[in-house]
Amino acid sequence: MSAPSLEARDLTLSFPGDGEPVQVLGGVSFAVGPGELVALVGRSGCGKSTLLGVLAGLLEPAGGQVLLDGAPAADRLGRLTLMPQRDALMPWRTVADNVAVGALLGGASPDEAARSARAVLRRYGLGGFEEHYPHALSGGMRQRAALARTLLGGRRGWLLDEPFGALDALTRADLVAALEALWAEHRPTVVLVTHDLDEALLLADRVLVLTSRPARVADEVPVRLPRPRGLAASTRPEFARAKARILEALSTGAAA
Amino acid sequence: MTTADRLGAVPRRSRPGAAGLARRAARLLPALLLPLGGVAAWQLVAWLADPRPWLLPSPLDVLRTMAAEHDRLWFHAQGTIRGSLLGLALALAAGLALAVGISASRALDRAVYPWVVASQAIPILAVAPLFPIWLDYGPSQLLVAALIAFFPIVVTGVDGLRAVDPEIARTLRTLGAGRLWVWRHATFPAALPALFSGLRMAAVFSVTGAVVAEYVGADRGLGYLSEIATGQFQTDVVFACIAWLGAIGVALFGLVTLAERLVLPYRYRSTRPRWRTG
Repeated sequence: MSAPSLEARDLTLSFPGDGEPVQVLGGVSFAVGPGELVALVGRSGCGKSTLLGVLAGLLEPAGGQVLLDGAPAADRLGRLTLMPQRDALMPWRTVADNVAVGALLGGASPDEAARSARAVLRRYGLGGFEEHYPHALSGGMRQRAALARTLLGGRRGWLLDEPFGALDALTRADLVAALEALWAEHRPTVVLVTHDLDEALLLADRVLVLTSRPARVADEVPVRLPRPRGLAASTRPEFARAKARILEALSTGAAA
Repeated sequence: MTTADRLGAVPRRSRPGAAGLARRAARLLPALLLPLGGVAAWQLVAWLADPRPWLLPSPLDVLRTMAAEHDRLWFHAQGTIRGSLLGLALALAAGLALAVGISASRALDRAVYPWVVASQAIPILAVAPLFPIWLDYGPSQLLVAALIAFFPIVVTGVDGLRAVDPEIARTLRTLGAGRLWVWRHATFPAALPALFSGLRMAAVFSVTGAVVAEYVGADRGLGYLSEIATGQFQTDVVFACIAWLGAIGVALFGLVTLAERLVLPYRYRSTRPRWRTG
């Protein structure tokens, strides 16, 4: 399966509030090329998670369209894999069985799924923990397992919803590096939602800045830093310039 | 793998050995203190005050009766055990079916759930005499036991089936899982811990139900025996029945707890046990 291109075209969505409906998405438009990694940043509560739900096909927008590979994709649920902030591992399954779910749902036989789960866990630093239940693992290890499950799902479009938001700074740095390596190797199309600007700048080809509710794309900041970036990239002047531009867009977006 | 990650929980693989068992036994000691002290005080009162045996038999009298009348007690205990177990099984089947229906359908929730609750508002003692009018003792006992035991199963089942982490369901859907797959592999397993709590209550309730049924109309069972013995002032037999009933209740409770440990090992261990595959 090749990595899809993804396009959001003028997406709008409101939720019923007290009395008046609350408009969450106010005409969101952007495009992500095949194998591109794009970060979405915005203030908390600006509708980023809702937007990912719409992209995934879990929610239908009131207006606008989601296009996959250039074609309107009304029936897109199951084509882009979501990875939430809380790992969403099933507590009653061992780590290996959780990861195997990705492959199972991708159509692999149970044996095949178990084999590939074990291989991918060893590869990504979870060897020896296959038979553990998720509660016995640290937050960082659980997110690694969740990444492994996403990878084994076989979809080449990933929607990551603040995947490292609940981790401490050191673990987060490790996982940012792990994600960059994983992306470089498999080149999926990735939409990464985050409120951590450093994380966005260390990972993304482009950063899209969303306005506060209702969400629209306020600015689009290309990140021209060589890969692999690593933490050292954050000391480069391009990094600082891009960050300043994002902060600027965030503050004007809030006023809008 | 990084040190930062490795520093997290690295769980033990060890199983409790002989030392662990001794420690567990020691933990049980406080729980035994109260009943043992009570029985000792009771025996002391019986020795000092020497009441008539029909008024208050001593614990030793009761033990002697339990030994001497063992065959009769066991015969009746079997009736109660059968009624409780069958009632519990029926309660589990009906309760689970209801819980699945109520959690899946808003209409059933509105139409049926209030009546499930109302069914428990009427005291079981008031309803129980009706059953032997229509049915044989066996089925009527089973129904009374099930009627009282199904309630905690429905309530905990409904709560449990709504307890699945929505993030898990959403993630699985985007991985390509259909609704049925999500129900079978996420919604249902997520409900099991709550369901087992309900089942533990139901196990104890079902014994109560079985005995109530025996009181209001039966030709066998500890409730029946106890009623006969009360009429004949055989107070020692009544106490013997009580001891048996307590033991049956505790045994059923223990059975459910054991089943939970086998079905939900993740609640008690950090790794998959060797006896569990797939």
